[in-house]
Amino acid sequence: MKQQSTLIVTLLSCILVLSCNKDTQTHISYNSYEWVSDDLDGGDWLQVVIPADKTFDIAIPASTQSDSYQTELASMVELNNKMSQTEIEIADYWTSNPLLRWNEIARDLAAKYNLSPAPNSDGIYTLPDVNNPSSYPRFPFAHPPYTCRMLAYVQVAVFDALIECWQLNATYNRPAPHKIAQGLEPYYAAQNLPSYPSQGATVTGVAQAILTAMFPLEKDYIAAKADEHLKSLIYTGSHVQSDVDAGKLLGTQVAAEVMKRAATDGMKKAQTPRPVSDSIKLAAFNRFGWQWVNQEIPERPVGITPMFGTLKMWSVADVGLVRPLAPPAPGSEAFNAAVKELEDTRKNLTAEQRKIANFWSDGTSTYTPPGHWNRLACDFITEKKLNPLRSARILAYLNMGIMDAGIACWDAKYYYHYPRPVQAVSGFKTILGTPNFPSYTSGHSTFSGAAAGILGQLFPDKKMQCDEWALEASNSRIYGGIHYRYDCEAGLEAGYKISDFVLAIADKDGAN
Amino acid sequence: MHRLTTLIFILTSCVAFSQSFTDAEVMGKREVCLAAMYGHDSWDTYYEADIKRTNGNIGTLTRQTTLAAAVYGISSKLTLIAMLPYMHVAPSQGTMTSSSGFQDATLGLKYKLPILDKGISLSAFIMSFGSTPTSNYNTELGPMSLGANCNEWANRLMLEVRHHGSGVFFRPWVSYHMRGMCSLERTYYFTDEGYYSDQVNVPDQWQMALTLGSRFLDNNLRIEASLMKIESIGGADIRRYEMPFPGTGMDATTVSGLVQYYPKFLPALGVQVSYMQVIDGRNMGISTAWTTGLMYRFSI
Repeated sequence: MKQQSTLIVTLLSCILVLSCNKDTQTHISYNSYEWVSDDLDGGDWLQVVIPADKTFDIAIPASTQSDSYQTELASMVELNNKMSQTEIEIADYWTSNPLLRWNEIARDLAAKYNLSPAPNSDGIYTLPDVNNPSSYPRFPFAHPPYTCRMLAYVQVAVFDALIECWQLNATYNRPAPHKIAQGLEPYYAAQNLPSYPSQGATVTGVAQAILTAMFPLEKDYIAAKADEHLKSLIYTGSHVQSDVDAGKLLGTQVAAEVMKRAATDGMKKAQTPRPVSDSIKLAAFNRFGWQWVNQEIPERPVGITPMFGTLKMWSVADVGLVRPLAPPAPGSEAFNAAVKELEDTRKNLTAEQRKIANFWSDGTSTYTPPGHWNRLACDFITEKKLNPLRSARILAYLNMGIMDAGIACWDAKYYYHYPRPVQAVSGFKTILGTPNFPSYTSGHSTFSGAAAGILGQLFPDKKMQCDEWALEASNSRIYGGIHYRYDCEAGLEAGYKISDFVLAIADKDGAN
Repeated sequence: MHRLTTLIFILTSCVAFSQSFTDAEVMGKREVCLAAMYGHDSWDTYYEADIKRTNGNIGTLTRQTTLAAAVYGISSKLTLIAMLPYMHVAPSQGTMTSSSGFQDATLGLKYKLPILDKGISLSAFIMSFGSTPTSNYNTELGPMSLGANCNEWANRLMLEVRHHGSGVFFRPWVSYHMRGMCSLERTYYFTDEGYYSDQVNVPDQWQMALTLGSRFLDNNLRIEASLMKIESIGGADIRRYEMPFPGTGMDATTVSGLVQYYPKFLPALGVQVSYMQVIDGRNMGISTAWTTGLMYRFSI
């Protein structure tokens, strides 16, 4: 009997080890913070897309003495006084820097839409159709090129709109409500910035407009998020209704202006029909004597966005300036050495290497490497308590660099059209899925080089960490068996080169 | 206890080896049974959510399992069971790797409660068993993963009605399987929405079965057939053309048959063969499985 109870106790102890904590987080708990600076001169900074002489149609605000303002203020104070528990949770969710949450929403949408189209029953793949987004496969397929471009337009437009907003804030100089209403205690730490137009509403106006254009099927979801945030600006005691309306309007107008660039940046022809794709492949074969062929079953006849390398770049005048030299020919000594490394790695893969491969994999159903770097940047921003304008500047340059990295990498990929290890090495198997585009150069490496170069400069104390991460992200593709070492090295180098081009623009924008 | 049927749920599952807890046998006090089993399970068609499909990048997925088990009679009513499987999972096509290694070890107790014994006997069995991963296997390989890499604790109630004269028996059982978290090697994943965590909630399960069979040749030969159902509580569907995931909710209905024989001339040694077929499911391979095994009994 004693033996029996010992066993039961042992078993029960085993059971206790079972984790009963079933909480998983569907968003990051960004905390509100007091901005470390206000950048009151931010209206003078140089915008990325909007020409300096461009003006927007924002009405002159009513005086704070006017009846209309006083009515708005009274209603705001009333809402602020009776903030409900739900409203407090919403305010905590959006925080005093709503940019971060919109960046997260953009990342989540990318993950949601990052699914490879399935073949039809006859083995033919249909591609998403922007004109018919809801029919399968849904539009968009948010692969890395799509996602890096989406993030770039969102963040550049937010930056340009906030510069515009800071300018109007200074011009109209309407004091924040807490400076007018006696006893008003705003939910977020009180800021010194003028209140018209609302900075938060400007961000939301931009984000709503651009994300809706990028993810048309999410129109209602995005609108609900936007409305939720705009309402919170009032009951948190941050802004009155006319501040919010003006911000939303400004954001929408700036977004429309920035999206004019998107309409003509070359994305429309990036995903080519088969004959064009075949001619690109043939050109590479004639030039180099090799060609990449997709190894999926059934074979995908066209890779992801063969012409993405022809898109208009943000920082580099000509993609040729950052195109790497040709990779070693298959069968050459350098090629054989790289293959040997892959085979040895596969045979002796350590737990640490597998972890790195999985950690940076950022494949389908994720926010892709561009999203991964955005998440890291958002963490830096909260740590440094940057105001929305400073945050927007970081995220704009980061994503310009990442998109330029994508363009440069795709140029190399389809110019060299280099076969993947699973194609070139007979019987080679991988722990990661091999993506549907050529091997040379590695996208992860190029994205990460650009991102680490930019973040390392904008957050000097993070430089070493960023460089380590970039190298790790780059190596992760070798551990995963889907890139040769030279794919990764050339990609990383091109990425860092691109970061210099972007930082040269940042140097001259007046923010330093 | 001899029914160590390796009924394997190919799209990764913690429950693969809970199946020795499906029969009405208990050991005599201080009696030991050692068993070695081999299982072969394969499918080429699976349910992606409710869509029945094949996958050219997998072809036929084959899982081979070698299982070692030990059973010990603590008393005539209480039996202790321990099991450890080694697996090899390989696709026949595509560029993804195969995988192999020790999967989850199971330890459990089975308690017999006789209720009635008058020509027809009725007994209840209460079982509690837990399993835990024994190797750091990769859960990012979709169906090629060895399992969901989570702890599990199951409690099962079984009844058995047996007609002594004819040898016919009938066993229904039901169990609830609490399953813990799977730790990923990344900090974001998307199933039905985005999760900023490396922890995946592996869905709990209900399992239930009906078994009808009979004993022949002085109880030395047992033949039985079962209908079983597994239902996940929550859990996401596999997204279109996406891989399964530890958080995927998997359901299945299976039919199976088992023959077990202890020869008269060597009663310590038993052999068994079983067959299992998935007939319906969700996020589940439509698999066909064969297992065969040897058991050896002795007292200490």
